[in-house]
Amino acid sequence: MDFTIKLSFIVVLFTFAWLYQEQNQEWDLQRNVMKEANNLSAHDAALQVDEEAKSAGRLVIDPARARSAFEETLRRNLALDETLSPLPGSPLTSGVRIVHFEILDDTNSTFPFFYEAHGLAQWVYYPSVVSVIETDHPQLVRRIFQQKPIQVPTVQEHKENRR
Amino acid sequence: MKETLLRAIYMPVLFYILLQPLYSYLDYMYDTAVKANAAYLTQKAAVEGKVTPQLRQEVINKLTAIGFHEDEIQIESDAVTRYRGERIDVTIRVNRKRTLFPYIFTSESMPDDYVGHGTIMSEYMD
Repeated sequence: MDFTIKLSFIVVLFTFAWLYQEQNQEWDLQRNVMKEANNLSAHDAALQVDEEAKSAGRLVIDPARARSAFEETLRRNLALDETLSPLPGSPLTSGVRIVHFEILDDTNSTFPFFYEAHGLAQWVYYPSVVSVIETDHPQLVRRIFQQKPIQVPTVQEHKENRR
Repeated sequence: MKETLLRAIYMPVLFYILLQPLYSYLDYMYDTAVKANAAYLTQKAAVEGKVTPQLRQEVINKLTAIGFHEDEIQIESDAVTRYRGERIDVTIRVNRKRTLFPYIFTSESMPDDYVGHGTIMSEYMD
């Protein structure tokens, strides 16, 4: 009897530890796919250069086209619907929120400058797209406190062509 | 005698407790590696306009270095060169030969592959 009670206690402890491990692994997987998707989406947004301004020697990113390209790439990479909620087969379990989307180009910035906001702190040398997205923390183990959402920032910068 | 029998019955539980976290962690690491390589390949393909044979081989080398066999790895992407603004899709599938314990005891089946997918606009200009 004593043995059975001890073993039951160990099994309960193990189950809790196991679910906690699974939850942390899920958090990490989701964070990684979010980060990569954010990078790819910001990349596509940064490609939406205003050709007219470019011919005048200024690098200007078209805000409407950039936002549209950003959301489209985000949806394609994370299998999301129009409202950014996960479709069947998506690696995410909750919807994605775009917390911040900002264009830094020749119309509003003088380069280089030190950018510090939304958990980012870095020198920006060329026109860029800054984006921050988030989703809810996966929950297998319910805890007393609500865990913070997974939030990933990125800066996609144009680079000088050195080829 | 009774105690010995009890211990014999609970032995599989003990093995399960010892091995489950290791297998689960291993599976998660393989999944992470495949997804990270898919993202890397997608970003590189954007510059070249497609997944070139050199890029394909580079990723295969990285995945075989962590224990996958070359014939388990499938890299799917259009061979056509995509120009600036056109979309490139890249998918990496690697055969998942490992079955985690919980799936042995349920009717659910584990996904057959580790899958990494990325889509991006090409930067390539002729």
